[in-house]
Amino acid sequence: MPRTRKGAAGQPKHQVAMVFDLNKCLGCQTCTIACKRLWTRDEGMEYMWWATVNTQPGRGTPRDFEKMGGGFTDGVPNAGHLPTRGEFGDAWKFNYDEVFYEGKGSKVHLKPQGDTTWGPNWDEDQGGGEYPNSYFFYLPRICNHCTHPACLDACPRAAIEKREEDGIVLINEDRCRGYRFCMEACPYKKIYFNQARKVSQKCIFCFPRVDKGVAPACARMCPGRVRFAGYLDDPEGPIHKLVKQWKVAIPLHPEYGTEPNVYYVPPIAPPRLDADGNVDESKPRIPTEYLEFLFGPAVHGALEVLKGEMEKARKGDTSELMDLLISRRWLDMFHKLDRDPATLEWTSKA
Amino acid sequence: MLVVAKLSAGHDALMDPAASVWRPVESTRLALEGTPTGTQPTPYTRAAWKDRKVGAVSRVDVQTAHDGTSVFIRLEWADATENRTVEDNNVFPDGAGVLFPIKKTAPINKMGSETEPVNAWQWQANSERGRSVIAHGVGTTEPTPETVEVASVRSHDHWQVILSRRLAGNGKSVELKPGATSRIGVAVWEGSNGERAGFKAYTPDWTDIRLADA
Repeated sequence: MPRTRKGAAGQPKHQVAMVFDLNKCLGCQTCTIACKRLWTRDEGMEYMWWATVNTQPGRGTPRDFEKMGGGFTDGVPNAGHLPTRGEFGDAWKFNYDEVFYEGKGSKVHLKPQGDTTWGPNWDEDQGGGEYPNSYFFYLPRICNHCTHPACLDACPRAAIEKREEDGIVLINEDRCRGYRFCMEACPYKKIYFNQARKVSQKCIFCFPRVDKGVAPACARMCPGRVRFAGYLDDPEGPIHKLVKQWKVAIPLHPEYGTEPNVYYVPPIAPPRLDADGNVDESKPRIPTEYLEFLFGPAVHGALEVLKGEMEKARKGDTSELMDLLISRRWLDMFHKLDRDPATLEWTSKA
Repeated sequence: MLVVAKLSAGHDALMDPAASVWRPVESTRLALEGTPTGTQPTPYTRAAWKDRKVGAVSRVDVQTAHDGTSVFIRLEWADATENRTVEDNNVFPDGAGVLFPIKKTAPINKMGSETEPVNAWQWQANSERGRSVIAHGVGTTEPTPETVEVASVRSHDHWQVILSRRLAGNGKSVELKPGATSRIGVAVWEGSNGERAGFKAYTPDWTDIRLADA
């Protein structure tokens, strides 16, 4: 039986993608909870957050993932670190029984047990800089369903596939043996190990919803209209326009070499204030070097285009880009994935 | 030639690594080597262990017996660390396996080939159930439905493990018969060294076996 890696050699027919506008994300975590409620409620999944939103500058989830290796350098895989449950931010255990069921509720406080020195969003809102020019922004992350996935390439059992119809990268849990090389190889560290089922698991781009024309839950639930979801190669859709046409949506850490399919509109913060409290526009509040660390040199062009179009709109001119990003028509954010999930009838047969 | 002795002791005794029935059974010491990095099936697995020692366990003692219905393989090796869980993401269990060629010419160091499958019976310290798989080359193992019974005991910093299966296979896996010959290979995974998948200590050559008559 020959080894097959679906999609690894050839390209998928279409590629789903997302764009996140970092100018709008408030870190409300509705997306992370939407995913959690839908997909990661079973035994072994307690510590999993397939969708995360972290404060930047910050250490991210897992903690310091950007120092954990993986990905490619000039096409050659880099060895990677296997993040522990503690580094992801383990699910804390609480003394529920004692407080709620053993009659000690008036004597004993509800409190976490064991190690509580880190959680998945521990450095929330700490950010960087010095008052009054402190700064931070929120960075939502999911599996990037990369065009050149390090996870798929690493698996010795070819247990990871990239779907031909839409490029969604999936771990086949029947073939997975929980070897966890995928967890080492992914430079974004978005794969988790399920100790109860002994398989690796990660974001599935809500493929059962996508199969029915419904946008992923994290994108659809976002109240801030931050998340566009659709097909990268659909010229009528916002993803293609923002990534290919306007080039204001760019990948995170492109130097990891995996060609991620989640793109970001970089954040423009309010201006700095000088010592007298006056607006100081001589340099940006979010240091451009930091944005370049995250997004690479393409961030400069993206910021220029954004600022130019913002200025146009302020003067009262029409800006197609601003209209796209404002997204007055919510369903336009999902273009071909705009079906209402309430119209679906789930049966026991897939 | 390793002889698989015919024993009439009960099934339960033969499944107990500490049972006295095993004491007089001839033991063969097999040397183990780490699998060569070049045989790993992906660029990542070849790159990641470049500078690491593969195959922490260097030898295993093998005893074999059959009772006319099932084959019992007893493995014993020194292992100071008892790794029975996957309690954290970077924690791996100890494991061991025996390999049989289904096609006689199957290469042992490649887990068989497309036309020369092999059949492995596997034990892992974090499971009470054994597993039977067939492979057509590295990275292609598929489970087969037969039951592989396993039992394990810790004794003086040693693992003592029994793997057992009925002599008859299911058509896809190895067929064993009293009086017939076959070959075996042995592999040991040291959990504390992060060993899993193709990263293991193994016998680089087949050992010929002959099952005693019924």
